[in-house]
Formats: sequence, C-alpha cells, structure tokens
Amino acid sequence: MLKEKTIPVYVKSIIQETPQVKRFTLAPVEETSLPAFSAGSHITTYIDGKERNYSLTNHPDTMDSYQIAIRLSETSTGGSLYWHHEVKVGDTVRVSYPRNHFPLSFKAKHHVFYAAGIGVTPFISMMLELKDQGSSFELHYAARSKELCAFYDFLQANFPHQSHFYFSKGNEAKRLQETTLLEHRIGTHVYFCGPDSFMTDLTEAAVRFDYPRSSIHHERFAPPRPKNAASFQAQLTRGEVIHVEKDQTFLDALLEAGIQAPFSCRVGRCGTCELKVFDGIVDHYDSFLSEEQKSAQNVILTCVSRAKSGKLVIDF
Amino acid sequence: MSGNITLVPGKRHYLFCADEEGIKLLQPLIDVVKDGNISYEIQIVKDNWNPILSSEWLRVQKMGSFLYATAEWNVLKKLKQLAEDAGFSEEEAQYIGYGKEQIKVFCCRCHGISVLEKGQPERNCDHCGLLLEVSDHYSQLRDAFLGYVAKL
Repeated sequence: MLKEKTIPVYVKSIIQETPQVKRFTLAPVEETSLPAFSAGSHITTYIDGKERNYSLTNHPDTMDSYQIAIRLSETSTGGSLYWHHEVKVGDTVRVSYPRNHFPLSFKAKHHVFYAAGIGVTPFISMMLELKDQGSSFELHYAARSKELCAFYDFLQANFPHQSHFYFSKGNEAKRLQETTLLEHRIGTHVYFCGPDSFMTDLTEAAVRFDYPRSSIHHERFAPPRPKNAASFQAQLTRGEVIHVEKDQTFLDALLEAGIQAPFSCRVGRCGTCELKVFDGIVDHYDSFLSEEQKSAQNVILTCVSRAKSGKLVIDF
Repeated sequence: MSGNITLVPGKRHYLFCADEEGIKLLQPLIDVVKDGNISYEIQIVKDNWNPILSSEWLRVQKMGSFLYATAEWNVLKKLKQLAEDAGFSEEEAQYIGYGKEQIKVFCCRCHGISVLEKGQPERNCDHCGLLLEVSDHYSQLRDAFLGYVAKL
C-alpha cells in the first residue's frame, strides 16, 4: 500500500456539539503551525488501523489547529465509534495533509449550500471565507431538530441572515423542499453535502430545473454503494488476474493482491485511481468523470466503479 | 459567439434580448416558444438603449433561464459582458452577431492593441507601426488575437 506522509497532532479539546456529534480540535505536536488549507478541505485521520476523511471546520486562515466534527454513526465500522469512545484530550493521532476535492467555484456570483446532518461540516470553512471576502452566499440546513443540529448556535451567531434551518421533528416541522432550487438567481452555484439520497435527489432536481452541470457541486463522505454488486474479474495487461468479490472494491482487491495501485480519496471524487480499460463494460459510480468520459468506456476509477461485464481488461 | 440560431429545448424560461434587426432573426425561435406556451421575456435594444436597465433585467433572472442575445457585433459584445457579469455561463446563453465584426490584435513588439475588421489578414500596429499578421492565437485576458511580424 502507498504510504503518504502524515502529521502528528494532539487532541487539544473535545466539545459535545449535539448528543451524536463531537467537535475535536487538533493541534501540532512537532511544529508551531500546521499546513495551510483552503475552504472545503478535509483531512484523513489514521486511528485504530482505520482511515477516515473529515472536513476541516475552522477558518482557512487558521494555522495553529485543525477542527473536525464527527457524528457517531449507527452503522459505524469503527471510525466514529473510536473517535467518540476512545479518543481523549491529550491523545496523539496522525492526520494527512489537507486535501480539497470540494472547492468553492470562483465563477459563482452566489453560493448556495445545502446540508443535511453532519453534511454541514465542509460548508463552515467555506462560509467563513466567503464572509471575509464579502461574497454572496446562503445555507439551507436540514436536521431532525434544533437539539440535533450541529453548529446551530455558531451558525446563528455568525451567519444569522444567510442560514435557513429545516427541522423535520416537532410541532412546527418544516422539510427542505427541492423547489427551493427554483428561486436561485442566475449565476448561482449549488453545493450539496449529506446522505446519499439527499445529494442524489437534489442533484437530479437541479439538473431537471436546467442548472448547468458545472454549477452543481457535491461531496460524499462515503463511497456510493451499488445495490446489486456482483463479483467480477480484472485481467491486468502485466499478467495477473484479480478476482473482485461482490462486497469488495476493485481498489481493495488490487491492494490486497500486493499491487501498488494509485488512490487517494476512495470515494470516486478525485480521479487519482483512474486506470485505462481495454475491454469490458464499466459500471461507473464516481462523481469525477464526465458523462462523455463514462460513455467512452475506456477508463475506470477503481475505488468505486465495477464491471457490468464479468471481466475487464485493464492497462496496468 | 455563434452564427447559428438553434433552439436549446427544454428550458424553463427563455430570454430574448436583441436590437431591432436581431429580433427579426430570433422571431422563428420566439414563435416556437410562444406556440409551446413556454415562459419567456423579450427586451429590445434601441438607439437610446440604457445598458443599466439590461443589466438589472439580466441580474434578476433565475437559474434555468436561457438567454438569446442577437445584435450588431459591437452592441452584442456589450450585451455579452453584461450577461456574464450577471452570472450567465456559456451553457446558459447563445450570442448571435451580425454585420461587420471588429476584432482586436495584440502587437508582438509593443503590446499595443489595434482594432480591425475580422477577416483582414494584415494590419499596421496603431502604436508602433509594425506590420502585423493576424494569427488565430486568441487571448481571453486581452480579448485580442496575437499579431506576429508580417515582414522582416
């Protein structure tokens, strides 16, 4: 597996944001400052043998700490469970350098952020930066209730005019409607972050309402899960035949076979793991390739995409 | 900018902005949109045209709108700039010019900009006098084509 350089940090503070969300402030162990990052960036944390990506929620000008917010997932496979139950103030952990697969568009005249639950995290740094620049933006944030709404007080204090909340529980329950998209003025770029169905529904609605594809942005926390994934074989041009189980990603199968395949985000967002396909039909699940590139059927992002045919011939 | 007028179908609101000659070119599209009972607006640019009014009109439009701008080239360039400032992307507008189009050429020696009619292969630089051959190397930053030395 490829090893990337990591940064040792210690847990400076832990704040219980909501019953399910904890906010961790991470400070440098060895240096006085941490590498700079841009609004919308995330870091990968390496704890208990697991890699997890979390958005940085502090101001992009902050150099003395990184702040992340983690929701305890009901279906946690160890990441959020460990952070919530094992990590204490003073503990040392290793994190990656910041990466940004979800940058702000420099072309937008107005930025509109749509968040559900913990999906609000990348938007915090984005809004802090836009506010400093005097740029135009608004947030539409769906949560079950005010009590379960992470960063509620912070958002009310810092962006009272830009924040719109939708709480689905309670007497005055209000749901976020996709028809809100119809009201945005020309030059708007929309950004979606939250559960898979939330992003899929809003992306489809934006396309239906004639938003150009280039004005629609989204970030996934977890890779999309194919409903009926099947096992398949990949014939590499250098000789090996890799068998990919139905509950395994192609990338993981390559790495487990000892093959130094390239990768970075693992959620089909960055394109680092792209390999050429010589034969076979690819079932694309990434959000990196254009529709045209997907139709061409000559590349695959191994971290999320699979085979529609039983076999692929891969240039590697 | 394109000389082909094609209806981009399926948009939720169409905007037609044209001078008096341009509106005639757009009429077939306007008829299609009218017949289809699709939402649309028309703004006609006249001699006493006030760009501020066009700018305000463009800025209040919603996402999902599609703009057709048709005018004599010099007016069209101003309209295109207003539309881009309002936020219209290349995917949300079509610009159709008519008449004689003027282009700019960037002098490779003195970096001055000269204006000439499109199609003119050579031109003396207005600033240093060098005879320039107009290339197809276009700079978005300068909104000009690079002019090479025509004769050594």
